[in-house]
Amino acid sequence: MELDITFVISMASILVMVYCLYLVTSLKHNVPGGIIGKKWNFLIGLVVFFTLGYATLPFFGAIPESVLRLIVSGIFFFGAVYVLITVNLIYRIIKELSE
Amino acid sequence: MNQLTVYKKSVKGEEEISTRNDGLSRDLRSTLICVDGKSSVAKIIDASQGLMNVPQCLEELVEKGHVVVDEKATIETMKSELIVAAHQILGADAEKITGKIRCTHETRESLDAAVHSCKKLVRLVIDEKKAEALMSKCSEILTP
Repeated sequence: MELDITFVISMASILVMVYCLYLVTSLKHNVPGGIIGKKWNFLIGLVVFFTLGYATLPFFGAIPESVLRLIVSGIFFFGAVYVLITVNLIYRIIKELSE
Repeated sequence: MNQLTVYKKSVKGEEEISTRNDGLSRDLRSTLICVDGKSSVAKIIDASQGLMNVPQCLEELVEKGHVVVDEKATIETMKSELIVAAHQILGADAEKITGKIRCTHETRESLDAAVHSCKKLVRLVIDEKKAEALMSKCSEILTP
């Protein structure tokens, strides 16, 4: 495993994602339910999935190309789902607060 | 008449206690004595043990100018009731909104605004059905 710019960025990505996992789980007790709480568990699940996906980054060189494509496309797809849920949640919060 | 309203004696009411100038009936005088600027209508009714029609007596005393509504004490009583209602409906999660109610200014408008703000917060982070239940209970408490 070489210490090049790709490796550094990969490690930084994993660290940021682990921090996100810490944030999303520690905020859970503040949102036990309601409009946000219902979506929060799903967001936690997605962040766990991303963290696991990002954790494979340093091993990309050793993973067969077909599996690699599956992992990357999976991360892209669930990334899009994550963005969709987040934007939808923000929309509902704005709607709720502006009523 | 809202059972949480708190009345206080006016200057005329204080004078009536010592002078009996206006010749109030026994029920009116008893009610006037019970008005202390702290007890809500509900408490005065409890204290009277059904011996007189407290709401009617209070209305007469207001008309005669012996008592007036104590807005500040009334709001404080309403705040306490709202906090009790929040604990009953939300349980431990009530702490998320009770601070907002406690810190509200001593006006009815501020209290209304705080209750609506709490309802939004409950809908967002606690439970949508509980938010409706809380709002319904708060409306009962705040209805004049």
